[in-house]
Amino acid sequence: MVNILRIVALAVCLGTAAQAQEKTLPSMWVGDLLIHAPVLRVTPAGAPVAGGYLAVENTGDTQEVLLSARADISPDVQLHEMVMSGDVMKMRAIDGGITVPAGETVRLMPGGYHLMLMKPSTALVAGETHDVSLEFLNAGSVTLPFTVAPLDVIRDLGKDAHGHGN
Amino acid sequence: MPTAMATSRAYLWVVWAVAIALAIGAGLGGRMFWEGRSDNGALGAAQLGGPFSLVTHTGAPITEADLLGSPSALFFGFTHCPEICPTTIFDINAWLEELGPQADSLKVYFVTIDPERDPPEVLGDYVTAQSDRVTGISGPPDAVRAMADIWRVYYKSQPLDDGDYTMDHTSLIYLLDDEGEYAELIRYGEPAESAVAKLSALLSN
Repeated sequence: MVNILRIVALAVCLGTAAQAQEKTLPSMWVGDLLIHAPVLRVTPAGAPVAGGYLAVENTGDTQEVLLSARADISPDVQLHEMVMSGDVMKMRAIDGGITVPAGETVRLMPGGYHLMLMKPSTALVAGETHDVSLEFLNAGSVTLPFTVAPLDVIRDLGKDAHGHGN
Repeated sequence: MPTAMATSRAYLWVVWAVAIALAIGAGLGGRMFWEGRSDNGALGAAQLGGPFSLVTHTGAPITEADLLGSPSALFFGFTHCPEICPTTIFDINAWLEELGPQADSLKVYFVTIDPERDPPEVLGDYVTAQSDRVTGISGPPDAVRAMADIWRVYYKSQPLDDGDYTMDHTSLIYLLDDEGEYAELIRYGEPAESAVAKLSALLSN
């Protein structure tokens, strides 16, 4: 139910974007995994990097690992984690992928895990979609459309993701 | 000769002892600085800021004298930053919008701590694509380091797998009054109400 609300909320926000092609963000099954709200952050042309976010719900009874990602619009997509050490921001490439324990949901969202798309070949405009491929240890590879959204929309997804309304 | 060697060895030990003592002193100083901040909730004003000489994203020179006459907000980042830097610009845009005309006098500066990859024109493309209120500041690496030092901003490059690198850096937004003096700071992730209240207080002085 929370997931449905989240998707509807995003669809409403995106609906205001003139370029919006899709009115909803479908969750997608990949084996036992349910991928929610795959989004890319609005990024101007020429920006050196862009951020990608999603939630991975593991409904199975086996631990999964998000190993890597690829995208046509970027020559190199890395898995990164941003952490705050006091008031110092630190960003690290993640070695060995992002683990999604059985029965749990792991969220890539601003301020934490994210996909880092190096040297995006195009501006990322709200409402547009770009394909991103995700490689999982057990479920294998899946390509799905990531919708471009502004930060406030992505943040609202994150708030919802913390559940319980904030 | 053995005597000379012994003397030089003793000399080395003295140098090391002094270096260690200095390092401990610096560490204590830093600790007192941070603890002092947690006590009063704001950085001690006396130690922050000072002369600098850099260039804006249009290539114009900028010094501490340009921080006089209107209040300003100052933060440090880099363009190869997918998270905190665009987030900070996005948040500042939203805060200024909420403050409305009251915020017209505020000047906002984004100082790159990665000047090798962020010469003025690159930085300019980056900030102007995200905000019409932010002025980028770049310059020779040594001059940028000196500017960061006077604001006690930490930054350090960290290698990535592909030979590229990212930057660790202090994420604070410094608010300066119209005399260019440190007034307040806004932390990354601080609630919008708090940030807007601090800016409003700065602008109404």
